[in-house]
Amino acid sequence: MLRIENLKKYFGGIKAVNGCSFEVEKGKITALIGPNGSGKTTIFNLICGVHKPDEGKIIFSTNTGKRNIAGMQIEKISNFGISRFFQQTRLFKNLTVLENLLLAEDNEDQKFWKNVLGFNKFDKAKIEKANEKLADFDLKNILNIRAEDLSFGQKRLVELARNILNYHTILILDEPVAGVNHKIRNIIAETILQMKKEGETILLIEHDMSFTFSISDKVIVMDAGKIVATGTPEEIHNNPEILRIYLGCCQL
Amino acid sequence: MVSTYFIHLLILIGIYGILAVSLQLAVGFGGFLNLGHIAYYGIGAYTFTLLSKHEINFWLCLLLAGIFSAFFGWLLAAAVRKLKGDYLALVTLGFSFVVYAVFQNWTWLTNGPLGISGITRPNFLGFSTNNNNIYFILVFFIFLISYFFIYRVVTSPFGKVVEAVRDDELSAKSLGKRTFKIKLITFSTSAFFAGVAGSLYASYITYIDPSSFTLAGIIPVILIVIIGGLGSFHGTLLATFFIILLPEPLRFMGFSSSIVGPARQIIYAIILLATLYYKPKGFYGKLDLE
Amino acid sequence: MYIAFYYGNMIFMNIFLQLLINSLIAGAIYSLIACGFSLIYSTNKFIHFAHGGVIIFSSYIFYTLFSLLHFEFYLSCILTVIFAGLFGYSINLIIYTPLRKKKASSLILLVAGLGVLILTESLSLIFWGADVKTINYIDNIQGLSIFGAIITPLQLIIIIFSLVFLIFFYLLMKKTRLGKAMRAVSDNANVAEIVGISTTKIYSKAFIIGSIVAGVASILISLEQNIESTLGTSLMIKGFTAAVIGGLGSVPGAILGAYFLGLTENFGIWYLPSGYKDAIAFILLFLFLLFRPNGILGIKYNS
Repeated sequence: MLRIENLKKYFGGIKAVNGCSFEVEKGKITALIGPNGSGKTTIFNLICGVHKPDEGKIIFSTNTGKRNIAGMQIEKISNFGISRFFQQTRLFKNLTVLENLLLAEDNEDQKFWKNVLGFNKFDKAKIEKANEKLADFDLKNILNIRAEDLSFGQKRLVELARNILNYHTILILDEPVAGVNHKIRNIIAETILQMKKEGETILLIEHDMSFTFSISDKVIVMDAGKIVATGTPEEIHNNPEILRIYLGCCQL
Repeated sequence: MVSTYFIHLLILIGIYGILAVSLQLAVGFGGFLNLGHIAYYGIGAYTFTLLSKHEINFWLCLLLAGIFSAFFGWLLAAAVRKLKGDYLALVTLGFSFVVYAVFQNWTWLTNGPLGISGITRPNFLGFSTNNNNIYFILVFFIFLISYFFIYRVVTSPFGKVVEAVRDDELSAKSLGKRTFKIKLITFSTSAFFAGVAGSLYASYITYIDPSSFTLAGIIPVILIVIIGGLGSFHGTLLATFFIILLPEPLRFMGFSSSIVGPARQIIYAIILLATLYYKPKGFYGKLDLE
Repeated sequence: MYIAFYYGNMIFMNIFLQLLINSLIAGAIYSLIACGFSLIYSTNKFIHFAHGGVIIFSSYIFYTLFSLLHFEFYLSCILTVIFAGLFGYSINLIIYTPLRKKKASSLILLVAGLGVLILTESLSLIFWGADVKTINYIDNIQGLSIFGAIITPLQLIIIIFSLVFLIFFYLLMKKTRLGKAMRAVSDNANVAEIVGISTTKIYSKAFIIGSIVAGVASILISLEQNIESTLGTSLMIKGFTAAVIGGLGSVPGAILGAYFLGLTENFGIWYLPSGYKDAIAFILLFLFLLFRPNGILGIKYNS
């Protein structure tokens, strides 16, 4: 589904990503873990088009075949099916929850004349779809609240809903449960597992180890821009090397 | 006599209303603080004037003036693609300075500081608009169309994408939106209507010269947009009434005309400063200037 | 034929030298304005548009003191410069500082400065009228002739004075504690605060010094040119075009940019009609902001 080949990215003298290769299999949950500064978010940025790699390929299986998406524009990559959940909340703060979700549903809203002449609307069907998604998250009656005014946990759930509503063949989640309370953490965990049951592919970064190990199929460990280990959660959990790298870093 | 005066004010409100709403689209909804917006007003005015001198139909002149302004809106939007913050604001200002310099110096085309007079008014619905009352109806008609059009833009899904790009461009891109294209469309539309307003202004005063399009000209417009509230559509209209009508009492206080002009600017400047301090969100706005 | 060639060259030399001299005069004035503006920008980190207002008010005050009230020349100069410093300081105190307390963005401060500029321009129109004012001080003295190019004593004084002033300014910035503190705040205000520099005090001192320099510039301009209310805006634009050319945030860059602007303007109108002189500055500003926002030297400054 998504294969990284020898990816490298330098920022001045800093080798943020220094030759990484891994594969994200279809229908599985892959986790990318490692200490802060190991390059995880940079890899996400490279995959999603925020940065252009200095070397390496990012091969993605789109509906028109495999393509090297390295260096492509963010919006183009998104339309190929990559949907990203950011580490910082990036809701459109002055728009309502409903508007945030509706914008994700399709790209008809970009057609100027079609919209101005009234041939494209936020109709009942679309609103229903948004509502359903929110109901999955146990969030009702927040459709017309400004995104800015939600609580942190609610924001994250809305953002996740937005990511799911957006056309995607793979979900890329950057620290989905960072900073949320137990209840929301569980909702997110359940949602991700449910998505896996439905055949979705997920790549995530997370520091919460119990969360990560409980849902992932494959765990990739990074340190200082390189991949140091790959395996199942059990293999990684029992690997003394990894524990050493991580000591004092993350919750186990 | 009294009604002539009121008609005059209403015409001005109509023209400034279109100008302000077009700026609101760019600033409040698009998040683009275009301090050079007055340049489009001027480009529209001069284009309209020069075309109408060639006996071209009024509506065609109006449309072409708008389109020509829109073209410059497109150019400026493309030019500032990679700029942010202070530099962005400065480029927009620089743009309006360059346009002013062209009006002032390209005398072959614009007649320079002497300006162009004798702009004819059209017929509307069979009546001559040389009568200001009829002209007002024309302005009102065009105002309604412009206002409605921009209203459709901002309340449609497209308008929501525009706002999304304003709020978080990266996030919008991550949802697959082509943000650069959206900005080009938004700012050319903004420029189009500023050009329309400029054409109406030229047609109303029947004379234009570069002095209407200096840096000072942006103050009342940006003031209307801020007071009405960034991102508020109807607030802009209310603010237009307020700003146009507010300095009018000066006329009746016995000052000479050489005082009234600067005094009006002083009032605008003071209100601007007060608004920035006390009510930077304006009265109906939902966001801050940033 | 050789004689024609020789005279042709002489005329070319004359024009060239005259333009060069004019460039130096313009550069001298612009450098004072750009320098003050840059100092304020590099410490305060926002664009102080109202600097143009300080210039225009100071010019009119000088005119009032010297030509209307017939104060003694040097007294008028000193009073004008003091006025300029105070005026700049008050603008910061009354307008910018309260807005900054409310965490106003640099864009809001820019718009506020614009408002103050228009305010001062309009007040000038009301108090002094729209007619052009001239100050006759050193007049009708035969200009010196250098290879056929003419320079009046006043113009020579402007160039020399500007250079001397800038040297003082340089010494201030490099050698004094105040100068070092200002550079510290310009580099990193947070760290400066931590080492005990009062950033608020530095902000106002920058305004005072920058405005004093503007006051000096206003006097020189008033002597050399006519005064009218739009002078503030046009000089402000020239001043910050110079600052942008040299790299916003760099004071030496501003001076470099000022002479570059002076040269471009004056040699530019060798080819273009003279009305385009101001337009040249606008176009340069626009081009530099678009294609070389970090100035000629291309060094990025913190902002």
